[in-house]
Amino acid sequence: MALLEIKSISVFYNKIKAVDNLTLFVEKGELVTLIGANGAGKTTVLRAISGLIRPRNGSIIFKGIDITRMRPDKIVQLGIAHCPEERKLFPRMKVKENLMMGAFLRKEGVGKTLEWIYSLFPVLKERENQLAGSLSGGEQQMLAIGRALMSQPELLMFDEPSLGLAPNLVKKLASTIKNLNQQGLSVLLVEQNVEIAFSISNRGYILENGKVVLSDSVEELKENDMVRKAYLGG
Amino acid sequence: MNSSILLQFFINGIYISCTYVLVALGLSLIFGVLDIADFAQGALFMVGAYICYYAMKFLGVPYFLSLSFSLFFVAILGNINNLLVYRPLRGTIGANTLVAALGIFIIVQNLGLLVFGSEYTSVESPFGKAKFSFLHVFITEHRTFVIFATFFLIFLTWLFLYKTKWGQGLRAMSQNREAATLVGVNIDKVSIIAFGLAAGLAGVSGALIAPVEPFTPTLGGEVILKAFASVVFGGMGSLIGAVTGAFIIGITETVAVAFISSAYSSMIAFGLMILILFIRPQGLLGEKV
Repeated sequence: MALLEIKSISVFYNKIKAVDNLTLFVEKGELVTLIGANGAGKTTVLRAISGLIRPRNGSIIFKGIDITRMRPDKIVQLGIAHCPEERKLFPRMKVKENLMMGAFLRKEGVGKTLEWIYSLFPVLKERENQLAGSLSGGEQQMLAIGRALMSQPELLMFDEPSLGLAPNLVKKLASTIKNLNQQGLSVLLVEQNVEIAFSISNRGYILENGKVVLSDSVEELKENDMVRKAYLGG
Repeated sequence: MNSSILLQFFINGIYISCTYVLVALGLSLIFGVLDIADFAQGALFMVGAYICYYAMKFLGVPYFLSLSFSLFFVAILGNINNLLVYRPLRGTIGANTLVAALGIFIIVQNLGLLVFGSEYTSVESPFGKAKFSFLHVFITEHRTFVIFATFFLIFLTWLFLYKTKWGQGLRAMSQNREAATLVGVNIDKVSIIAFGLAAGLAGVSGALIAPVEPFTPTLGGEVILKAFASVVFGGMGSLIGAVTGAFIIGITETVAVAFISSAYSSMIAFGLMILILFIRPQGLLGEKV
Protein backbone atom coordinates (compact mmCIF):
# COMPACT_ATOMS: atom_id res chain seq x y z
CA MET A 1 0.00 0.00 0.00
CA ALA A 2 1.23 3.46 -0.91
CA LEU A 3 2.06 6.03 1.78
CA LEU A 4 -0.42 8.50 0.31
CA GLU A 5 -3.34 7.47 -1.85
CA ILE A 6 -5.76 9.91 -3.40
CA LYS A 7 -8.78 8.20 -4.89
CA SER A 8 -10.80 10.21 -7.41
CA ILE A 9 -11.27 13.41 -5.44
CA SER A 10 -13.16 16.43 -6.75
CA VAL A 11 -12.67 19.81 -5.10
CA PHE A 12 -14.83 22.87 -5.61
CA TYR A 13 -14.41 26.55 -4.79
CA ASN A 14 -18.06 27.50 -4.51
CA LYS A 15 -19.37 26.31 -7.87
CA ILE A 16 -16.06 26.19 -9.69
CA LYS A 17 -14.50 22.78 -10.01
CA ALA A 18 -10.78 23.11 -9.29
CA VAL A 19 -9.90 19.41 -9.10
CA ASP A 20 -11.81 16.88 -11.15
CA ASN A 21 -11.86 13.20 -10.24
CA LEU A 22 -8.15 13.11 -9.50
CA THR A 23 -6.27 10.00 -8.48
CA LEU A 24 -2.63 9.82 -7.46
CA PHE A 25 -0.32 8.07 -5.03
CA VAL A 26 3.06 8.56 -3.41
CA GLU A 27 5.05 5.52 -2.30
CA LYS A 28 7.17 5.64 0.82
CA GLY A 29 10.55 7.21 -0.04
CA GLU A 30 9.43 8.52 -3.42
CA LEU A 31 9.85 12.01 -4.81
CA VAL A 32 6.78 12.71 -6.93
CA THR A 33 6.13 15.90 -8.86
CA LEU A 34 2.88 17.51 -9.88
CA ILE A 35 3.21 19.60 -13.03
CA GLY A 36 0.73 21.90 -14.69
CA ALA A 37 -0.04 25.43 -15.81
CA ASN A 38 -1.34 28.14 -13.51
CA GLY A 39 -4.84 27.26 -12.38
CA ALA A 40 -4.49 23.57 -13.25
CA GLY A 41 -5.38 22.67 -9.65
CA LYS A 42 -1.97 21.74 -8.25
CA THR A 43 -2.20 23.96 -5.17
CA THR A 44 -5.75 22.80 -4.56
CA VAL A 45 -4.59 19.17 -4.43
CA LEU A 46 -2.07 20.04 -1.71
CA ARG A 47 -4.66 22.11 0.17
CA ALA A 48 -7.06 19.18 0.10
CA ILE A 49 -4.40 16.80 1.45
CA SER A 50 -3.64 19.24 4.30
CA GLY A 51 -7.30 19.61 5.17
CA LEU A 52 -7.47 23.31 4.29
CA ILE A 53 -10.28 22.53 1.87
CA ARG A 54 -12.60 19.51 1.85
CA PRO A 55 -13.02 17.46 -1.31
CA ARG A 56 -16.66 17.09 -2.33
CA ASN A 57 -16.11 13.44 -3.09
CA GLY A 58 -13.41 10.80 -3.25
CA SER A 59 -10.98 9.95 -0.48
CA ILE A 60 -7.48 10.67 0.72
CA ILE A 61 -5.71 7.87 2.58
CA PHE A 62 -2.43 8.38 4.44
CA LYS A 63 -0.64 5.43 6.06
CA GLY A 64 -3.89 3.51 5.67
CA ILE A 65 -5.91 6.12 7.56
CA ASP A 66 -8.71 8.05 5.89
CA ILE A 67 -7.83 11.72 6.31
CA THR A 68 -10.37 13.13 3.84
CA ARG A 69 -12.34 14.97 6.49
CA MET A 70 -9.74 15.21 9.19
CA ARG A 71 -8.84 18.51 10.87
CA PRO A 72 -5.60 20.12 9.62
CA ASP A 73 -3.86 19.80 13.00
CA LYS A 74 -4.63 16.06 13.14
CA ILE A 75 -3.20 15.67 9.64
CA VAL A 76 0.03 17.39 10.71
CA GLN A 77 0.19 15.07 13.69
CA LEU A 78 -0.10 12.03 11.42
CA GLY A 79 3.04 13.14 9.58
CA ILE A 80 2.22 15.40 6.65
CA ALA A 81 3.89 18.80 6.40
CA HIS A 82 3.04 21.41 3.82
CA CYS A 83 5.49 24.07 2.73
CA PRO A 84 3.03 26.54 1.20
CA GLU A 85 3.20 28.79 -1.81
CA GLU A 86 4.99 32.10 -1.22
CA ARG A 87 6.55 30.67 1.99
CA LYS A 88 3.90 32.21 4.30
CA LEU A 89 6.23 32.82 7.23
CA PHE A 90 5.27 34.61 10.43
CA PRO A 91 6.91 37.93 9.55
CA ARG A 92 6.84 39.50 13.03
CA MET A 93 8.32 36.46 14.72
CA LYS A 94 12.00 35.70 14.98
CA VAL A 95 13.57 33.00 12.83
CA LYS A 96 13.80 30.66 15.80
CA GLU A 97 10.18 31.34 16.80
CA ASN A 98 9.08 30.48 13.26
CA LEU A 99 10.93 27.18 13.50
CA MET A 100 9.44 26.46 16.92
CA MET A 101 5.97 27.10 15.49
CA GLY A 102 6.66 24.21 13.14
CA ALA A 103 6.92 21.98 16.22
CA PHE A 104 3.68 23.37 17.69
CA LEU A 105 2.15 19.92 18.21
CA ARG A 106 5.30 18.14 19.38
CA LYS A 107 6.30 17.61 22.96
CA GLU A 108 9.62 15.78 22.85
CA GLY A 109 12.87 15.93 20.94
CA VAL A 110 12.20 19.40 19.55
CA GLY A 111 15.71 20.62 20.45
CA LYS A 112 17.30 17.80 18.45
CA THR A 113 15.25 18.56 15.36
CA LEU A 114 16.15 22.23 15.69
CA GLU A 115 19.86 21.37 15.79
CA TRP A 116 19.46 19.18 12.74
CA ILE A 117 17.75 22.01 10.85
CA TYR A 118 20.49 24.43 11.88
CA SER A 119 23.03 21.95 10.50
CA LEU A 120 21.10 21.77 7.22
CA PHE A 121 20.80 25.56 6.98
CA PRO A 122 23.56 27.17 9.06
CA VAL A 123 22.40 30.64 7.99
CA LEU A 124 19.21 30.15 10.01
CA LYS A 125 21.31 29.60 13.12
CA GLU A 126 23.21 32.82 12.40
CA ARG A 127 19.97 34.73 12.03
CA GLU A 128 17.91 32.96 14.69
CA ASN A 129 17.10 36.22 16.51
CA GLN A 130 16.21 38.21 13.40
CA LEU A 131 12.61 38.79 12.36
CA ALA A 132 11.57 36.44 9.56
CA GLY A 133 10.34 39.40 7.53
CA SER A 134 13.89 40.75 7.30
CA LEU A 135 15.36 37.67 5.56
CA SER A 136 16.26 37.49 1.87
CA GLY A 137 14.12 35.40 -0.48
CA GLY A 138 16.47 32.42 -0.38
CA GLU A 139 16.75 32.52 3.40
CA GLN A 140 12.97 32.77 3.70
CA GLN A 141 12.60 29.64 1.60
CA MET A 142 15.09 27.80 3.83
CA LEU A 143 13.10 28.95 6.86
CA ALA A 144 9.84 27.75 5.31
CA ILE A 145 11.40 24.33 4.66
CA GLY A 146 12.93 24.28 8.13
CA ARG A 147 9.60 25.10 9.72
CA ALA A 148 7.88 22.32 7.78
CA LEU A 149 10.59 19.86 8.83
CA MET A 150 10.17 20.79 12.50
CA SER A 151 7.01 18.67 12.67
CA GLN A 152 9.12 15.61 11.75
CA PRO A 153 6.97 14.71 8.76
CA GLU A 154 7.01 11.49 6.78
CA LEU A 155 5.58 13.25 3.75
CA LEU A 156 6.64 16.78 2.87
CA MET A 157 4.68 18.72 0.27
CA PHE A 158 6.25 21.69 -1.49
CA ASP A 159 4.20 24.28 -3.33
CA GLU A 160 6.29 26.18 -5.90
CA PRO A 161 9.42 26.36 -3.75
CA SER A 162 11.49 27.89 -6.56
CA LEU A 163 9.14 30.84 -6.99
CA GLY A 164 11.03 34.15 -6.88
CA LEU A 165 14.46 32.57 -6.37
CA ALA A 166 17.56 33.36 -8.43
CA PRO A 167 18.65 30.49 -10.76
CA ASN A 168 21.67 29.47 -8.66
CA LEU A 169 19.44 29.31 -5.57
CA VAL A 170 16.92 27.19 -7.46
CA LYS A 171 19.62 24.58 -8.12
CA LYS A 172 20.68 24.63 -4.49
CA LEU A 173 17.08 24.25 -3.40
CA ALA A 174 16.60 21.28 -5.73
CA SER A 175 19.62 19.51 -4.29
CA THR A 176 18.35 20.21 -0.75
CA ILE A 177 15.01 18.61 -1.59
CA LYS A 178 16.73 15.64 -3.23
CA ASN A 179 18.96 15.28 -0.20
CA LEU A 180 16.03 15.22 2.21
CA ASN A 181 14.39 12.64 -0.01
CA GLN A 182 17.49 10.45 0.03
CA GLN A 183 17.45 10.61 3.83
CA GLY A 184 14.09 8.83 3.67
CA LEU A 185 11.58 11.68 3.46
CA SER A 186 8.78 11.17 0.96
CA VAL A 187 8.13 14.26 -1.14
CA LEU A 188 5.24 15.60 -3.19
CA LEU A 189 6.53 18.53 -5.21
CA VAL A 190 4.40 21.07 -7.05
CA GLU A 191 6.54 23.07 -9.47
CA GLN A 192 6.26 25.41 -12.41
CA ASN A 193 9.95 24.97 -13.14
CA VAL A 194 9.49 21.64 -14.89
CA GLU A 195 13.13 21.04 -15.76
CA ILE A 196 14.22 21.39 -12.14
CA ALA A 197 11.32 19.23 -10.93
CA PHE A 198 12.14 16.49 -13.45
CA SER A 199 15.83 16.60 -12.56
CA ILE A 200 15.16 15.34 -9.03
CA SER A 201 11.85 13.43 -9.17
CA ASN A 202 11.08 9.72 -9.61
CA ARG A 203 7.62 10.10 -11.06
CA GLY A 204 5.39 12.88 -12.29
CA TYR A 205 1.74 13.72 -12.87
CA ILE A 206 0.66 16.25 -15.49
CA LEU A 207 -2.43 18.24 -14.53
CA GLU A 208 -4.69 20.12 -16.89
CA ASN A 209 -7.94 21.76 -15.81
CA GLY A 210 -7.99 19.83 -12.57
CA LYS A 211 -7.49 16.44 -14.24
CA VAL A 212 -4.50 14.15 -14.47
CA VAL A 213 -3.80 13.89 -18.20
CA LEU A 214 -0.61 11.91 -17.93
CA SER A 215 1.39 10.11 -15.27
CA ASP A 216 4.59 8.20 -15.63
CA SER A 217 8.18 7.93 -14.54
CA VAL A 218 10.17 11.09 -15.15
CA GLU A 219 12.32 9.35 -17.78
CA GLU A 220 9.21 8.50 -19.82
CA LEU A 221 7.65 11.94 -19.34
CA LYS A 222 10.79 13.62 -20.63
CA GLU A 223 10.46 11.67 -23.86
CA ASN A 224 6.76 12.37 -24.27
CA ASP A 225 6.02 14.70 -27.20
CA MET A 226 3.14 16.49 -25.51
CA VAL A 227 5.20 17.13 -22.38
CA ARG A 228 8.19 18.32 -24.40
CA LYS A 229 6.07 20.76 -26.35
CA ALA A 230 3.98 22.11 -23.52
CA TYR A 231 6.40 22.11 -20.60
CA LEU A 232 9.98 21.71 -21.75
CA GLY A 233 10.03 24.29 -24.54
CA GLY A 234 10.13 21.81 -27.45
CA MET B 1 1.06 77.49 31.98
CA ASN B 2 2.12 76.06 35.30
CA SER B 3 4.05 72.78 34.92
CA SER B 4 2.19 71.04 37.75
CA ILE B 5 -1.10 71.68 35.96
CA LEU B 6 0.38 70.13 32.84
CA LEU B 7 1.51 67.14 34.91
CA GLN B 8 -2.01 66.91 36.33
CA PHE B 9 -3.45 66.74 32.84
CA PHE B 10 -0.83 64.19 31.83
CA ILE B 11 -1.79 61.93 34.75
CA ASN B 12 -5.46 62.42 33.90
CA GLY B 13 -4.58 61.44 30.33
CA ILE B 14 -2.93 58.22 31.53
CA TYR B 15 -6.07 57.44 33.52
CA ILE B 16 -8.41 58.20 30.58
CA SER B 17 -6.28 55.96 28.35
CA CYS B 18 -6.59 53.20 30.93
CA THR B 19 -10.38 53.29 30.61
CA TYR B 20 -10.23 52.04 27.04
CA VAL B 21 -6.78 50.58 26.42
CA LEU B 22 -7.86 47.06 27.46
CA VAL B 23 -10.84 47.19 25.09
CA ALA B 24 -8.47 48.43 22.37
CA LEU B 25 -6.14 45.51 23.07
CA GLY B 26 -9.06 43.08 22.82
CA LEU B 27 -10.34 44.62 19.59
CA SER B 28 -6.88 44.30 18.12
CA LEU B 29 -6.56 40.66 19.23
CA ILE B 30 -9.87 39.67 17.68
CA PHE B 31 -9.23 41.66 14.54
CA GLY B 32 -5.81 40.09 14.15
CA VAL B 33 -7.03 36.53 14.48
CA LEU B 34 -10.46 36.66 12.85
CA ASP B 35 -10.65 39.93 10.89
CA ILE B 36 -13.69 40.98 12.90
CA ALA B 37 -14.03 44.58 14.14
CA ASP B 38 -15.89 43.46 17.23
CA PHE B 39 -17.86 46.51 18.39
CA ALA B 40 -19.76 44.26 20.78
CA GLN B 41 -16.72 44.54 23.08
CA GLY B 42 -18.08 47.95 24.12
CA ALA B 43 -21.28 46.37 25.36
CA LEU B 44 -19.28 43.68 27.16
CA PHE B 45 -17.37 46.44 28.95
CA MET B 46 -20.68 47.78 30.24
CA VAL B 47 -21.86 44.30 31.26
CA GLY B 48 -18.59 43.92 33.20
CA ALA B 49 -19.41 47.02 35.22
CA TYR B 50 -22.91 45.70 36.02
CA ILE B 51 -21.68 42.22 36.93
CA CYS B 52 -19.34 43.87 39.41
CA TYR B 53 -22.24 45.88 40.83
CA TYR B 54 -24.61 42.91 41.16
CA ALA B 55 -21.95 40.58 42.55
CA MET B 56 -21.27 43.10 45.31
CA LYS B 57 -24.90 43.91 45.95
CA PHE B 58 -26.53 40.47 45.86
CA LEU B 59 -23.70 38.07 46.61
CA GLY B 60 -21.96 40.39 49.02
CA VAL B 61 -18.56 39.70 47.46
CA PRO B 62 -15.88 42.30 48.07
CA TYR B 63 -14.95 44.58 45.16
CA PHE B 64 -11.63 42.91 44.36
CA LEU B 65 -13.28 39.51 44.08
CA SER B 66 -16.11 40.91 41.97
CA LEU B 67 -13.47 41.98 39.42
CA SER B 68 -12.74 38.33 38.75
CA PHE B 69 -16.49 37.65 38.39
CA SER B 70 -16.63 40.27 35.64
CA LEU B 71 -13.57 38.85 33.94
CA PHE B 72 -14.84 35.29 34.02
CA PHE B 73 -18.49 35.79 33.05
CA VAL B 74 -17.80 38.34 30.35
CA ALA B 75 -15.14 36.04 28.87
CA ILE B 76 -17.88 33.42 28.54
CA LEU B 77 -20.31 35.95 27.05
CA GLY B 78 -17.71 36.92 24.44
CA ASN B 79 -17.43 33.29 23.39
CA ILE B 80 -21.19 32.82 23.26
CA ASN B 81 -21.38 35.85 21.01
CA ASN B 82 -18.76 34.35 18.72
CA LEU B 83 -20.48 30.97 18.55
CA LEU B 84 -23.97 32.37 17.98
CA VAL B 85 -23.19 35.24 15.65
CA TYR B 86 -19.71 35.47 14.16
CA ARG B 87 -18.98 31.82 13.55
CA PRO B 88 -22.06 31.19 11.41
CA LEU B 89 -21.00 34.25 9.37
CA ARG B 90 -17.46 32.97 8.80
CA GLY B 91 -16.63 32.86 5.13
CA THR B 92 -19.21 35.46 4.13
CA ILE B 93 -18.20 39.01 3.22
CA GLY B 94 -16.50 41.14 5.88
CA ALA B 95 -19.26 43.75 5.92
CA ASN B 96 -21.63 41.10 7.33
CA THR B 97 -19.66 40.62 10.53
CA LEU B 98 -19.16 44.37 10.86
CA VAL B 99 -22.88 45.03 10.69
CA ALA B 100 -23.54 42.07 13.01
CA ALA B 101 -21.02 43.41 15.52
CA LEU B 102 -22.70 46.83 15.54
CA GLY B 103 -26.06 45.10 15.87
CA ILE B 104 -24.89 43.06 18.85
CA PHE B 105 -23.52 46.19 20.49
CA ILE B 106 -26.89 47.92 20.18
CA ILE B 107 -28.91 44.85 21.20
CA VAL B 108 -26.82 44.27 24.32
CA GLN B 109 -26.94 47.95 25.21
CA ASN B 110 -30.74 47.95 24.87
CA LEU B 111 -31.03 44.72 26.81
CA GLY B 112 -28.97 46.46 29.45
CA LEU B 113 -31.47 49.32 29.60
CA LEU B 114 -34.27 46.77 29.90
CA VAL B 115 -32.63 44.62 32.57
CA PHE B 116 -30.52 47.10 34.52
CA GLY B 117 -32.73 50.16 33.99
CA SER B 118 -31.73 53.59 32.78
CA GLU B 119 -31.05 55.12 36.19
CA TYR B 120 -27.51 55.80 37.28
CA THR B 121 -25.85 52.98 39.17
CA SER B 122 -22.92 53.50 41.45
CA VAL B 123 -20.43 51.07 42.88
CA GLU B 124 -18.60 51.90 46.06
CA SER B 125 -14.84 51.93 45.83
CA PRO B 126 -12.94 50.05 48.55
CA PHE B 127 -10.65 53.09 48.61
CA GLY B 128 -13.54 55.43 49.39
CA LYS B 129 -12.77 58.95 48.27
CA ALA B 130 -9.15 58.90 49.37
CA LYS B 131 -6.65 60.86 47.25
CA PHE B 132 -2.94 60.91 46.70
CA SER B 133 -1.19 64.19 46.20
CA PHE B 134 2.34 64.85 45.09
CA LEU B 135 3.94 67.92 43.45
CA HIS B 136 0.56 69.67 43.62
CA VAL B 137 -0.98 66.86 41.54
CA PHE B 138 -4.03 65.06 42.84
CA ILE B 139 -5.40 61.64 41.93
CA THR B 140 -7.88 59.46 43.76
CA GLU B 141 -6.60 56.20 45.15
CA HIS B 142 -9.15 54.34 43.07
CA ARG B 143 -7.97 55.90 39.81
CA THR B 144 -4.42 55.05 40.83
CA PHE B 145 -5.55 51.48 41.36
CA VAL B 146 -7.19 51.47 37.91
CA ILE B 147 -3.91 52.62 36.33
CA PHE B 148 -1.79 50.01 38.10
CA ALA B 149 -4.30 47.20 37.53
CA THR B 150 -4.53 48.09 33.83
CA PHE B 151 -0.77 48.08 33.39
CA PHE B 152 -0.60 44.78 35.24
CA LEU B 153 -3.26 43.26 32.93
CA ILE B 154 -1.41 44.51 29.86
CA PHE B 155 1.73 42.90 31.23
CA LEU B 156 -0.08 39.58 31.87
CA THR B 157 -1.51 39.67 28.35
CA TRP B 158 1.97 40.27 26.96
CA LEU B 159 3.33 37.35 29.02
CA PHE B 160 0.61 35.10 27.72
CA LEU B 161 1.06 36.12 24.08
CA TYR B 162 4.85 35.99 24.00
CA LYS B 163 5.78 33.35 26.54
CA THR B 164 3.19 30.60 26.26
CA LYS B 165 2.57 28.02 23.59
CA TRP B 166 -1.03 29.04 22.86
CA GLY B 167 -0.07 32.70 23.01
CA GLN B 168 2.45 32.02 20.25
CA GLY B 169 -0.23 30.07 18.39
CA LEU B 170 -2.56 33.05 18.61
CA ARG B 171 0.12 35.43 17.31
CA ALA B 172 0.96 33.01 14.52
CA MET B 173 -2.70 32.84 13.56
CA SER B 174 -2.88 36.62 13.40
CA GLN B 175 0.27 36.91 11.28
CA ASN B 176 -0.64 34.25 8.77
CA ARG B 177 -3.78 32.19 9.21
CA GLU B 178 -3.01 29.58 6.58
CA ALA B 179 0.55 28.99 7.78
CA ALA B 180 -0.61 28.71 11.38
CA THR B 181 -3.23 26.14 10.34
CA LEU B 182 -0.57 24.20 8.41
CA VAL B 183 1.70 23.86 11.45
CA GLY B 184 -1.24 22.52 13.44
CA VAL B 185 -2.72 25.52 15.26
CA ASN B 186 -6.45 24.94 15.55
CA ILE B 187 -8.48 28.00 14.56
CA ASP B 188 -11.41 27.06 16.81
CA LYS B 189 -9.23 26.80 19.90
CA VAL B 190 -7.49 30.07 19.05
CA SER B 191 -10.88 31.76 18.58
CA ILE B 192 -12.01 30.63 22.02
CA ILE B 193 -8.81 32.00 23.54
CA ALA B 194 -8.98 35.27 21.59
CA PHE B 195 -12.63 35.93 22.43
CA GLY B 196 -12.16 34.83 26.03
CA LEU B 197 -9.13 37.02 26.50
CA ALA B 198 -10.56 40.07 24.73
CA ALA B 199 -13.97 39.89 26.41
CA GLY B 200 -12.43 39.09 29.78
CA LEU B 201 -10.25 42.18 29.50
CA ALA B 202 -13.25 44.29 28.45
CA GLY B 203 -15.31 42.95 31.37
CA VAL B 204 -12.68 43.51 34.01
CA SER B 205 -11.96 46.95 32.55
CA GLY B 206 -15.62 47.91 32.97
CA ALA B 207 -15.54 46.64 36.55
CA LEU B 208 -12.34 48.57 37.25
CA ILE B 209 -13.85 51.92 36.32
CA ALA B 210 -17.33 51.17 37.75
CA PRO B 211 -16.65 52.91 41.11
CA VAL B 212 -15.18 56.04 39.48
CA GLU B 213 -18.46 57.60 38.36
CA PRO B 214 -22.12 56.54 38.38
CA PHE B 215 -23.00 54.87 35.09
CA THR B 216 -25.89 53.70 32.88
CA PRO B 217 -26.06 50.94 30.25
CA THR B 218 -24.76 53.39 27.62
CA LEU B 219 -21.40 53.29 29.39
CA GLY B 220 -19.67 51.33 26.61
CA GLY B 221 -20.44 53.69 23.74
CA GLU B 222 -17.66 56.18 24.13
CA VAL B 223 -15.25 53.49 25.28
CA ILE B 224 -15.66 51.40 22.14
CA LEU B 225 -15.33 54.44 19.87
CA LYS B 226 -12.14 55.57 21.57
CA ALA B 227 -10.81 52.00 21.58
CA PHE B 228 -11.57 51.69 17.89
CA ALA B 229 -9.81 55.00 17.19
CA SER B 230 -6.79 53.71 19.15
CA VAL B 231 -6.65 50.49 17.15
CA VAL B 232 -6.88 52.30 13.83
CA PHE B 233 -4.34 54.86 14.99
CA GLY B 234 -1.89 52.19 16.12
CA GLY B 235 -2.45 49.91 13.12
CA MET B 236 -5.20 47.28 12.82
CA GLY B 237 -4.09 43.98 14.30
CA SER B 238 -0.91 45.34 15.89
CA LEU B 239 -1.17 44.77 19.63
CA ILE B 240 1.61 47.15 20.58
CA GLY B 241 0.04 49.64 18.17
CA ALA B 242 -3.32 49.41 19.94
CA VAL B 243 -1.78 50.06 23.34
CA THR B 244 0.43 52.89 22.04
CA GLY B 245 -2.53 54.37 20.15
CA ALA B 246 -4.70 54.38 23.28
CA PHE B 247 -2.10 56.23 25.31
CA ILE B 248 -1.27 58.75 22.58
CA ILE B 249 -4.94 59.53 22.02
CA GLY B 250 -5.82 59.61 25.72
CA ILE B 251 -2.94 61.86 26.72
CA THR B 252 -3.33 64.16 23.70
CA GLU B 253 -7.03 64.67 24.25
CA THR B 254 -6.60 65.37 27.95
CA VAL B 255 -3.65 67.71 27.56
CA ALA B 256 -5.42 69.48 24.72
CA VAL B 257 -8.35 70.06 27.06
CA ALA B 258 -5.95 72.12 29.16
CA PHE B 259 -5.64 74.57 26.28
CA ILE B 260 -9.05 74.43 24.65
CA SER B 261 -12.37 73.23 26.03
CA SER B 262 -13.18 69.74 27.31
CA ALA B 263 -16.05 69.73 24.82
CA TYR B 264 -13.54 68.98 22.09
CA SER B 265 -11.90 65.91 23.63
CA SER B 266 -13.62 63.34 21.37
CA MET B 267 -13.06 65.52 18.34
CA ILE B 268 -9.34 65.41 19.07
CA ALA B 269 -9.33 61.62 19.40
CA PHE B 270 -11.01 61.11 16.05
CA GLY B 271 -9.13 63.98 14.45
CA LEU B 272 -5.90 62.19 15.35
CA MET B 273 -7.24 58.96 13.94
CA ILE B 274 -8.17 60.54 10.62
CA LEU B 275 -4.92 62.48 10.50
CA ILE B 276 -2.83 59.33 10.81
CA LEU B 277 -4.87 57.66 8.09
CA PHE B 278 -3.79 60.45 5.75
CA ILE B 279 -0.14 60.18 6.72
CA ARG B 280 0.22 56.42 7.32
CA PRO B 281 -2.83 54.51 6.06
CA GLN B 282 -1.63 51.34 7.80
CA GLY B 283 -1.56 53.12 11.19
CA LEU B 284 1.37 54.05 13.38
CA LEU B 285 2.79 50.55 13.86
CA GLY B 286 0.74 48.63 11.31
CA GLU B 287 2.11 46.55 8.47
CA LYS B 288 1.97 48.00 4.99
CA VAL B 289 -1.45 47.47 3.46
